[in-house]
Amino acid sequence: MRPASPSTAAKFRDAAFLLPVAGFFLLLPPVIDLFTARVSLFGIPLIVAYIFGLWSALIAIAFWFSNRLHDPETHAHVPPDTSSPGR
Amino acid sequence: MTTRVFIAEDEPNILESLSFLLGREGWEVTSALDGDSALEQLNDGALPDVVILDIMLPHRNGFEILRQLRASPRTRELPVIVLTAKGQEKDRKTAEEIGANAFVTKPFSNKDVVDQVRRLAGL
Amino acid sequence: MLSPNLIFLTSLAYVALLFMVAFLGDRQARSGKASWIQSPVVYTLSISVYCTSWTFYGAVGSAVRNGLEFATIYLGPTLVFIGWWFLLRKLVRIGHMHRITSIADLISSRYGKSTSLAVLVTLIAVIGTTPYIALQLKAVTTSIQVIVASDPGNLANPPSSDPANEMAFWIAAGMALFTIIFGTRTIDANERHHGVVAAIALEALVKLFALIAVGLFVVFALADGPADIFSRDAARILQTEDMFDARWIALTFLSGIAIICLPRQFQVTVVENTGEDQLRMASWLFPLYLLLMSLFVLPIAIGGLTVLPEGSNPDMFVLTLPMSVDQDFLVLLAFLGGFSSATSMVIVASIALSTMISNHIVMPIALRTPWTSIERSGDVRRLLLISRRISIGFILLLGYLYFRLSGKSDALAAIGLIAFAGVAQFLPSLLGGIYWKRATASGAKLGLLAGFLLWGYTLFLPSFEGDLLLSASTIEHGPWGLELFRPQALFGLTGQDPLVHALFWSLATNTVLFIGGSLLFEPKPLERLQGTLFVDVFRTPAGDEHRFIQRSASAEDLFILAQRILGSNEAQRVFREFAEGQGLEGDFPQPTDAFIAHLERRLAGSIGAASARAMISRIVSGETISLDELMRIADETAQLMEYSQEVEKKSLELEATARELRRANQRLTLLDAQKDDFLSQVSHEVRTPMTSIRSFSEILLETRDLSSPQSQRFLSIIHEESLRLTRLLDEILDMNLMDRGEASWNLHELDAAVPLIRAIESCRGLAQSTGSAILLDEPLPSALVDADPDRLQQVVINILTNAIKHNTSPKPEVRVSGKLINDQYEIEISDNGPGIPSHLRPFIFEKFQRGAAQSSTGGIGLGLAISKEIMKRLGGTLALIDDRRIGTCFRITLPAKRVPPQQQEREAG
Repeated sequence: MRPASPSTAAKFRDAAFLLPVAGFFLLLPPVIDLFTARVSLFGIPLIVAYIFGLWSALIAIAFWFSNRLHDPETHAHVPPDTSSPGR
Repeated sequence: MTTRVFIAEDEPNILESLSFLLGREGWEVTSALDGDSALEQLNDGALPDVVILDIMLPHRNGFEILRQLRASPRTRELPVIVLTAKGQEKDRKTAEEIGANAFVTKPFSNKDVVDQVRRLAGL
Repeated sequence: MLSPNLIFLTSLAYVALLFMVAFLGDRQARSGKASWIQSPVVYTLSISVYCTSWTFYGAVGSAVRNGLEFATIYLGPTLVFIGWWFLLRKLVRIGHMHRITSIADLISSRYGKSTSLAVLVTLIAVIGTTPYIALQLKAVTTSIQVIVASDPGNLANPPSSDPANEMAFWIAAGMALFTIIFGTRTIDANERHHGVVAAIALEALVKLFALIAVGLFVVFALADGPADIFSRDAARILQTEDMFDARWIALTFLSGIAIICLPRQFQVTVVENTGEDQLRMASWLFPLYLLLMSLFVLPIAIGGLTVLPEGSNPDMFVLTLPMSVDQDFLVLLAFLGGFSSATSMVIVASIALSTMISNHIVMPIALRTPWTSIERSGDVRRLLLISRRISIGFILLLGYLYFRLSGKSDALAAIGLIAFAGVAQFLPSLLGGIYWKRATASGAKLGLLAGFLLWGYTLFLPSFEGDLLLSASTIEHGPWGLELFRPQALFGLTGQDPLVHALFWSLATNTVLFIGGSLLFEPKPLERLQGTLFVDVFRTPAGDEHRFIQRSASAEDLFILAQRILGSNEAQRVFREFAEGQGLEGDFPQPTDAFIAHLERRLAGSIGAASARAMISRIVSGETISLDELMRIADETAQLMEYSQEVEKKSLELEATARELRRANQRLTLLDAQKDDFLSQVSHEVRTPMTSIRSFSEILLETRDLSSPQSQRFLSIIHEESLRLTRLLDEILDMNLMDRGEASWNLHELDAAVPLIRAIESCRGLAQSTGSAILLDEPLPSALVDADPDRLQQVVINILTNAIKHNTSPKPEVRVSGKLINDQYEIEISDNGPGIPSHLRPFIFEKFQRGAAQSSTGGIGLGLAISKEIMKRLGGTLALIDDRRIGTCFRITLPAKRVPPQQQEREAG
């Protein structure tokens, strides 16, 4: 895992907090009502494209974040439990 | 030949008493009141038989004069009695090292000075 | 057409495969080679146990009935997982640190390791999960029935119930068996079930694969691609008006809660977690899985509506669509997918619930009833295992009963949502517990109880449509006709979707009572402690809690207990490890508070925090310290800190003092050297006059024939030198006194001119004898000064004497002048002598300096030094004026005031 500088890590943490919040609001009325028009995108209804498109985007961003989020104090992760198999 | 004694001493009273003492023995006394004058007289002119050298001379340290005397071939063998108010062991040693023949501390006993001169003059 | 036998054999083969995978997983885990089980991918796949037959079958059904609503069930968890850093991570961390074995354990542990709370949570969990298990049974039985229905065309009506019930029973029994075999082999120290996790991961892959296969088939084989599918008439199911309403929001919210609060989800996400890195990958991989599972739901729904006859059960489209075109392989695959999804849910859920039951219900009872005293009976572990096995059977039995009792026409999705709403009651206590230190057990209990009762009343019981507790009329019109208390329209909140309605009342009341209860009741010390540990889990290191709990027990007693619960080997390992950590040899550590806390946590990993605590408490004495004790300790700590601050201050002071001493020592050494110098100087100065005195005395004594003038002369020299010596000794003493501040000073106001004139007069004699002239510049100004007249005179005499004595010029002259400038009285004494050599000028005021080329009648000795000191004491100065080329000039200054005219007259002369 590439170690990030503390301020970058902090920015990621802030962004990581916003991500689900933003996702939640984008899925609520009134935002989602914007996409209820009976329009098709390459044959797929707009609302379907919107929901699944947004979903994919959230996953992609989460993937991008997942390796960049670090503990502020230790910059390390909790070590695996000692009484687990393979040890 | 009369024995000649050269005294380098800046205190006039001490010089006077020494001159009297040595004069009484029938010796010839020449003197200088400071170091430069003393060196001058010793380097030029006739050599005395014994030198009494006070360490605390104005402008020049008596040890330095002694060194110069010992450095010059003319005065190397010249018998020197070092006279000083400081009588510590290290001064005695320094004097010895540089080449003094005798060491007398002030206040001195008259007999002691006379005896030393007599000895060094080979009398 | 698939025959029942084929179905049966395939199922059996599949189950055998699962068994094998589970067996291998367990064995590898035991031998330490199972790192693949801990891989983040396997972890994520095990979390996808969330997708049960509700997803596999019921999502399509929900899509048909309610359009896009099905997506909410997966969007909620997506949001929770992509925000893993904040909530899930904290839960996982707490789970590790406190060895949490279940959601009941978490809540109970947080609120002071409360047994009653654990029992309440367990009961709610069991009751809440029962419908969910029933739903799986229903799905599987229906799927079997659909496949083996005699008339392939008659897929419209669900077949009759009795064979279904029988089938369901056997399926339930089979699941129970599998779970018992693989979920309860041993009591893992941390409640990990490696074999089961492996099997679940495989099932996750199977169901994903199956659903995608069917989806692809529908989109590209039955239709001409996505555009074609959505162009069908049936796409009207996407009625988007009124779609995104309160129910949409509520469902998204609810599913987000469920992904944490469902006991099986908690089990796989938190309890089975072995590291944060697993969560890191799951944060995006699990939402991806959900996305893939949901991708083809709409196409399949539309396809089913288009192709299959009117009135077909939409929950079964996943099966019936391939069946309608005789794609037997696909049908079998789909069946296996559905079967996988159902069995994985049941297995994990029953493990999770049985753990809770054994840890939080059976163990506490066992602890309380005398005939199952732990000391006497053998392994506690055996008791746990047995109770777990029985619980599993019990749970599946309940599920079966619910299946029998519940309405036949209920959509799968609806049942699931009832379960969701039930476990959602954990949310306030859970979230509050990990973010709010003030949350108390009382608040949690009140909230949970109220929420559960309301859930039961508004959602759970009505789902039986009058067959359980609530009669149909009560559901319709309220108890005893009280419309206000209608289960589905409480307090006049009519017209709401029943789920939203129930959710609102139960969660609102739950939260309000939770907050109120927490604020009203004081938390007990242990609650407070746990609260801090949980909320600050990212800051507090593990094991700190022992500082607040004072307990004592013997190591042997602790070992016996540990053996009973952890087993001999594990217990020995734990003890030995800790002893090593303490630096002791041998197998037994010192039973310190830290060790007892450590052991308690280890035990909690097996039997839950509350029971571990109860068992430890039986053999240790001492308790959590009361608030008073805590405050006393806090005071002591504060005192200790104060003390250590004092000590630090003192040591700094000590350092400063040491520094001072060093400096003083340096000064003393210097002074010592100076003293040595001084003494050697004095010795020299004394010896010089002594030499003359001695020498001339000897001459006078020895010489008989001295002339009278000569004798006179010599005697006068002796006399002179004695005087010189005396003077020197006086000066030395004077200097010494002045240095020590003990000299006598007679300060008063006087006219400065007076001592000046007196000094001049007293030097006239000396001047005459040497032929020098003292010239006084008249007029000499008068001025008042504050001085000691004798001392001032001494200074002037000293300078005059020097000037006279050292003046070797033919016509020696000493000039004295005085003036008053700027409140300073200045006296200048200059001579026309040889002057002081420039290299000696800086040193003339030093003691025993030779100032002149010839030191005829005695050196300057201390004179100038004393004079300078005197002037300093009088507040004035004595300085050598450095700008003369000829002779020497000294300047004396004193602070002065102008004397009024008449006084001037009086004093002068």
